[in-house]
Amino acid sequence: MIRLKVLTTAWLTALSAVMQAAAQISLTAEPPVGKHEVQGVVVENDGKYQSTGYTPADLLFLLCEPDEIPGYTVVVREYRGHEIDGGTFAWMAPFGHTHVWLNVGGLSSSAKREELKCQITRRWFPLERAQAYLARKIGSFTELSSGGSITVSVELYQKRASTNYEDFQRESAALFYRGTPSGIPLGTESWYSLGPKKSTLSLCFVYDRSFVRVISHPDPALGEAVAQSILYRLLIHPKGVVARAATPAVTLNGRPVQSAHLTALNGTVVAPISVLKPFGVTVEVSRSVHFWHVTLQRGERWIALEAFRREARTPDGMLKLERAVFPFRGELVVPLRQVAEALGLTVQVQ
Amino acid sequence: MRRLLTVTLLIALASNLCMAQQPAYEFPLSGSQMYRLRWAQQEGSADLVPFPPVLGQPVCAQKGSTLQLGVRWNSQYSRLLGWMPIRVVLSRAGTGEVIWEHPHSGSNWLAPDAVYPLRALPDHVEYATLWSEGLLLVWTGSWPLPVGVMPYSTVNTPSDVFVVLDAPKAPMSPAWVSVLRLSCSWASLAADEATAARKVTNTLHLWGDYIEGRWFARDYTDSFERFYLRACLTWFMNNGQVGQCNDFADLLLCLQTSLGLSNRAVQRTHSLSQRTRPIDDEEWTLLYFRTKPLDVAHWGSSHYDGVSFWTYHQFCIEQNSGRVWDSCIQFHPSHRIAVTGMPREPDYRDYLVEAYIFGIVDAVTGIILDVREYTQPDFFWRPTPSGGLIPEVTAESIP
Repeated sequence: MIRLKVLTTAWLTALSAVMQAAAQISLTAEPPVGKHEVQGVVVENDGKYQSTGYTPADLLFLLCEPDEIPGYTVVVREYRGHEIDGGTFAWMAPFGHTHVWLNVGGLSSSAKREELKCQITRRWFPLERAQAYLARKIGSFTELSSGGSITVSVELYQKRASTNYEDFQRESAALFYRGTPSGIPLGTESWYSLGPKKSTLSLCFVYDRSFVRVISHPDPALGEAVAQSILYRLLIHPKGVVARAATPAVTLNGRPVQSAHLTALNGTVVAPISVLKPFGVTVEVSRSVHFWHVTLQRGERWIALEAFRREARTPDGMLKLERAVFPFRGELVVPLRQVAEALGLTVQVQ
Repeated sequence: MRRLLTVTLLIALASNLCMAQQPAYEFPLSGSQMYRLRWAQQEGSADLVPFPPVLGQPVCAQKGSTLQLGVRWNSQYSRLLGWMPIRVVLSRAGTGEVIWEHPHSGSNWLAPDAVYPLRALPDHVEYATLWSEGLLLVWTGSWPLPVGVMPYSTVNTPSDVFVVLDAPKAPMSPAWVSVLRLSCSWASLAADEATAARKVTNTLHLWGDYIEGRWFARDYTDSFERFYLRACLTWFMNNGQVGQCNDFADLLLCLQTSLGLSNRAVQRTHSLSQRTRPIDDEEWTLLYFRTKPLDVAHWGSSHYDGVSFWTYHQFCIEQNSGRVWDSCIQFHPSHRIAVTGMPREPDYRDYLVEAYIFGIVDAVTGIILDVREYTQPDFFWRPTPSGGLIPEVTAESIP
């Protein structure tokens, strides 16, 4: 009987330890090897023998938040039975709206740290269709995806990404073109296809140790803007996941602009709009799940911007921006020179 | 008092059994038409499912065949005197619908080495689960009740049972558990090869999304490619997206061969290395071909429906007849003609190809100097390799 008690105590202690370990899995620390689901993020860690040291949060930093693309949101796939959705099975669970793979290649005892890869993917769906799916007015996940989506995938390597246009096209059955649909440069090298109806953008770019893919339907321009936002996040990542571009020295009306979030996207300086506040610029934000408008004002001058759009309104008419505006941590990042000049500031970039 | 002693004895017995390194008892499954499986988590022998399996592990067997249930006693603290499988239940996975159930076999104990024959498996493709519960008669030798009766149940750890048409073929030999879960669900109730092939082809087209710019087949030559199947399945399960035509063809090949369909391979519309032909005494290079209007996966309205410009296309064939199965596309969106055993020439070819676009390419600069279009579907129709190829399938991560 005493032995039984001891056994029971030992078993309960072990169970408690396992439950505590499960409860402690967070997005800001490297989880144990295996598959976990935390707040809608499915994390798979293969780092049994080697690890890059990246956490899920390090990869999540690279993407817009689930609610940051106006009119879109993320969805957790649901198992609804074979009759309703024959493409989704219970055994596929856990489902998530975002998937993070850490230390891919690290399950082998001969793995080398420099050969490991980390990856994050997320897919946004049009808000109304996502709501209809969750309300079961749309039955299957495949039917949900036919109404459009934005799929983003970022692969992070420990050494320079070896992918390039020639190799990519050699293995692609579809035709890809160099560059971007807008002609704006993106990363070290970029290429894209537009699908038969010119409404499905498949855009890839390489920058240093990263390889990024964005698939966007039915709004190719939105997909390209999302891709630019990822390049921005790569460049300002606090852990330096890619080589940082030289931070441009920018002065507005002769005064230097100081911000850790100021960088250049292929030569175009971008920064969050908060850097303009010390220069007498007021910010008015109008945001809902469908739009994200910001009006900047300085004296009589103003400029109205919209998230993920390349056009801005000014008293002088529409202004075509050098880069699309995109969100970062609750505010919008803008092409600094054009926006500052529209507000009557003198800009110097070195 | 007597009841308390019995309970104590059983608890003590159970605790001893729990301490053992291996399970104290297992229920081996046997049968003449069972096939080996692999988990598909890694490469190497560690990936193989133990064979023959025990109840709780996945089982793959031919349709209509019979399985037998046995018991294996592993504990050194006690001895098995007999066993009595009171219930053995085979249910359809997903719905839980009972396919058959063995009733109570009577009051006689089976000898420890006796096997318990089960009813025949369905005579068609099925994805089922199998579990059992019953009693074990155990000799412990402990005073005052040296013999105890212990109930068992595997209802919470059932076996996945994959009922297939025949032995799985390469590249699914041994078949992957993760592939069989799809193929046996999608081809459920199919009793012959043609029906099973049609079902998995159409269902993959129905639920899988074609995308440009992401694929899981790599390292192509005209006679080889490596298919990162685990990565493809993971992506499909997360996003509903399969990849490009190579991935659809390779995945379809795996689905079909996992069910035991024979003589299957994949093939491309033409060679990737030999893309030139002389025209008017000059060497022209095939740049790409323009398709007729296609219903690209998934079924119904999808992002890529319409006329495509593809540098090649890959599909699944039956090697002897040259017939084609293609879950990536269906023809003529308004009629939705499925490619399920379609003659490669002329039907499939003529439905697929609208025109070939050739160019004269400067060998040094790579610049295209001249372009011509040829609208005869047979102008550059050179299925490659001629007998088809079987991709190398791997569970490794894409480097």
